[in-house]
Amino acid sequence: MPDVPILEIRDLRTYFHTEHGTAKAVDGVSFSLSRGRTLAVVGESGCGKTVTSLSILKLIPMPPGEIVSGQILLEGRDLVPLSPKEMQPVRGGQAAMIFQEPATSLNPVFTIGEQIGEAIRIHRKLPKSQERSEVIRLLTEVRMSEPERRIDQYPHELSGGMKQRAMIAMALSCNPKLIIADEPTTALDVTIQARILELLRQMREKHGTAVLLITHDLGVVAETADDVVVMYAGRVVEQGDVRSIFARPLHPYTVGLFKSLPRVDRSEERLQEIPGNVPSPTKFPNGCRFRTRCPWAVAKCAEDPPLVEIEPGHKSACWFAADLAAGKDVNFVHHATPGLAAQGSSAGGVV
Amino acid sequence: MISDIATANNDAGSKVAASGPEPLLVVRNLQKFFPVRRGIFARVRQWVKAVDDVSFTLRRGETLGLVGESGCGKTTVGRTVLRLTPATGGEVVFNEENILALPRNALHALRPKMQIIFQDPYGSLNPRMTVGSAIAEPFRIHGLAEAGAAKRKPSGHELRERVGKLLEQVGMPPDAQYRYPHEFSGGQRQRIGIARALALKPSFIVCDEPTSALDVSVRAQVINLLQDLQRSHGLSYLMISHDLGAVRHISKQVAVMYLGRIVEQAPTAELYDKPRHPYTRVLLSAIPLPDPTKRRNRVTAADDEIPSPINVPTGCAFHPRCPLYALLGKPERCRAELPELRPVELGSEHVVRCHYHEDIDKLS
Ligand SMILES: Nc1ncnc2c1ncn2[C@@H]1O[C@H](COP(=O)(O)OP(=O)(O)OP(=O)(O)O)[C@@H](O)[C@H]1O
Ligand SMILES: Nc1ncnc2c1ncn2[C@@H]1O[C@H](COP(=O)(O)OP(=O)(O)OP(=O)(O)O)[C@@H](O)[C@H]1O
Ligand SMILES: [Mg+2]
Ligand SMILES: [Mg+2]
Repeated sequence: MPDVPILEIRDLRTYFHTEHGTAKAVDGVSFSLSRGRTLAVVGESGCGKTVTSLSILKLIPMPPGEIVSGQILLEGRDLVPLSPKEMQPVRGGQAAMIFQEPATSLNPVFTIGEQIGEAIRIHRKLPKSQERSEVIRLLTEVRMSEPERRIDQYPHELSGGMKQRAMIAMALSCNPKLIIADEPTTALDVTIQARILELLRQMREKHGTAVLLITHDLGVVAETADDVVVMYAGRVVEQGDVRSIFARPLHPYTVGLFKSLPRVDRSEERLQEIPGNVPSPTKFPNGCRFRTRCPWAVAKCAEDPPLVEIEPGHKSACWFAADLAAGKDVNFVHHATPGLAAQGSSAGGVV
Repeated sequence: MISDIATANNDAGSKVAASGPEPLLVVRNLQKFFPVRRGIFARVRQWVKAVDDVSFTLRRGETLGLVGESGCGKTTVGRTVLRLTPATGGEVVFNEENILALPRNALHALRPKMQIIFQDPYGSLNPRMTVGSAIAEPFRIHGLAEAGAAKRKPSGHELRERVGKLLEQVGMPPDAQYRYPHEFSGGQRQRIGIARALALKPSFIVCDEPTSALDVSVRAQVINLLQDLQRSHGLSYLMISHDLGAVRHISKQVAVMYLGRIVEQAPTAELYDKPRHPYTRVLLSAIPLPDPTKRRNRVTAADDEIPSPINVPTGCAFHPRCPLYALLGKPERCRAELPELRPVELGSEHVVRCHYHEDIDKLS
C-alpha cells in the first residue's frame, strides 16, 4: 500500500490584493512531505516561503490575502475548505508551528509552564494533576536545563535559545504529525543553532514527526534536510533530494545561490553574485521569472518552463536543465562594481 | 614611534604589528564597563564588563574580523574605538594620536576619517529624508572633503554631483538620490549606507554586521563591494560579524571574543584551520557546512548559556563551559588564574588565551 504523505500541497496559489496590484506571493506551488522526513524550503527574501507555511495552517490575513486555488492535504484531508472552527484542532494538534522570533509567539504575562500547560489542555485529555509533570517531561525532552525551575519562569527571564526550546516543547506537547519551523534558528548564535537543529532531528527520529523547515541558510539545509524545494518569486524552480541538489543543481538560480556563498571551509578571491534584484511580486515577468537575472536567458524563456523530472526524483523548471545535468556551467558575469574602475585613481589618494 | 609601541608594550595584540604594512589603528587595553542600576537613584553596585582589556592592531588597507557570540562585546568595541561611546580605560591610537584623549574639536576634525556601517540598513536611514539628503548629510556637517580645501558650504549643484558619484561607486544609478529609502531593497539600502560612510573619504570603517540582514546573493554583492572599495580606496575595516563565512572571506586577521576579552587571534587561514582555543573550536565546529555528504565532528560547550558579563567567572571566563577543562579533569589553574594572550609559539602572529592550548588536539 502506498504511503499517504503527511502533507501534500497541490498547485497552491496565495495572492495579496494590494493598492499596487495583485501580489502573486505563492503561485502554483506543489510538494509533498512524508512521515519522519525533513523538507527544506529555501529561496531569497520575499520568494513566498512564509506565505506558503502560513497558508498551510490558514493563518494568512484575509483580506488582503486569499488562497485563490489549490489543495493542502494534511494526512489526506484538504484544509482549504475548512472553517476557522474546523481549523482549531488542526493547529497545535495535528500540525504545530515554530516561528523565527520566539519572543513574539510566547505571551510575556504567563510563565512557560502555564503556556505549555494551556496547549496540552486544549488538545489533549490529561488529568490536571499530571499536567505539571508532563510539562517538566517536555522541557526535559527539549534539553532545557533545570526544568523544575524554568517551568515557573516568564519568557523575559530566558535567553533566546531557551525561549526557542520552550516554543519547541509547546509544539511537541500534542505529538503533532507535522512541525512547520519558519527560520527557527536565524536569530540565534551558531552554537545554539546547532543544538536546536539536533533537537529537531531527534524529534523526527523518535516520534516520526515530519518537519517542514524554512530557511535561507544552505548550511542548515545540507545538515538537516532530506529533501529540498527551491523557490523563486512565488514558484518552485527546483526540487529533489538534498544530495542530488547539492551535488548537481539543475536550475541556474540554484547554481547562483551556491556560487554566491562565502564558505568557512575554503576561501576564494571573489564571490560570484547573481546580478540584479528579485522582481517585485506585483510585477513578475511572464514566462520564467528568473530570466531577468539569468545569463542563459533567451527568447524561449518568455514561455513558462514546466517543473519536470530531469533525473530520478530531481525536478527543475528550466528549459535548459538538461544542459546543467550534462555538466554545463553557468557563468554569472563578473562585474566589478561599476563606477569604481573609473573612480579608482582619483579616489586612491585618500589615505 | 610605531615600533616603540610594538616593543614597549608586552601584550601580544600589539606585537602582531611587527610585520606587514604600517598600523593604522592600535587599540591597547580597551575597557568599557556599563553601570547596572536598579532604579534611577540607586547607587551603582555592579558593572557590566562589556569590554575588558581588548588589544589589537589594524594595518592600513587590511581587514580585522571580530567574531564571537551575541553579547560578547563586539559592537561595544566598535563604538568605543570610534569614541561614539566613552571608554572606561585604555588607548585607541589612530594615525599616531590617542583619540580617547583628544579634545572635542580635534576629535571633530578626525571624524571624517573614521566611519561606521550598521547592520540594519532600515534603522540607520531616516525614512523622511531622500537618499540624496541622507548621503549629503556629512557634507553639511563637515564640508566637502577636498584635499587641502578649507571648510566651506557646498552648493546644491556640487552636492548633487558628489552624491551621484558616491552612488555610482556603490553600483547604484545617480538619480537614486531623489528617491526615498523605502523604495529600495535591503541590499540597496545597505549600499546607500556604505555610500554615506564613504562620503568624507574615510580611511577606517567599522562594519558592524553589514551583511547579517541580507540574503545570500545580496550578501555576496555587498561583500564584493566592500572588497572593491578596500582595493580602490586603501580602506581598513574592522569587520564585526557572527557570519563566520563572510569574515573568513574578507579578513586578513581574525580575533575571537568571549565575554569582553579576545581569546584568540591569528591570520585568517590559520585561525580557521588550526584553532587553538577550545572556544574557537566550539564556535567553528558549530557552523553547518553546505555539503550534505560531510558530517561535522562537533565540539560542544558544556552549557548553552553564556555566563553574564556582570558575574564573569573567575580565572578563565570560559572554564565553566570548556570541554577541554572537563576533559583534563578540571584543573585548578583554569578557575584561579586568568590566562594571558600569548603567541602559540615564539614570534608567532597567532595568539591564544588558554593555559592548556597545547593539549587542544585531545578534543576531537
Ligand atoms: N500581508 C501582506 N500583504 C501584502 N503582501 C504580502 C503580505 N504578506 C506577504 N506579502 C508578500 O508576499 C511575498 C512573499 O512573502 P514571504 O513573507 O512569504 O517571503 P519569505 O520567502 O518568507 O521571505 P523572508 O525570507 O524575507 O522571510 C512578499 O513579496 C511579500 O511582500
Ligand atoms: N548601553 C548599554 N548599557 C548597558 N549595557 C550594555 C549597553 N550596551 C551594551 N551593553 C551590554 O554589554 C554587553 C556587550 O554588548 P554588545 O552589544 O557589545 O555585544 P555584541 O557582541 O555586539 O552582541 P551581538 O552579537 O548580539 O550584537 C552585553 O552584555 C550588553 O547587554
Ligand atoms: Mg519568511
Ligand atoms: Mg553587536
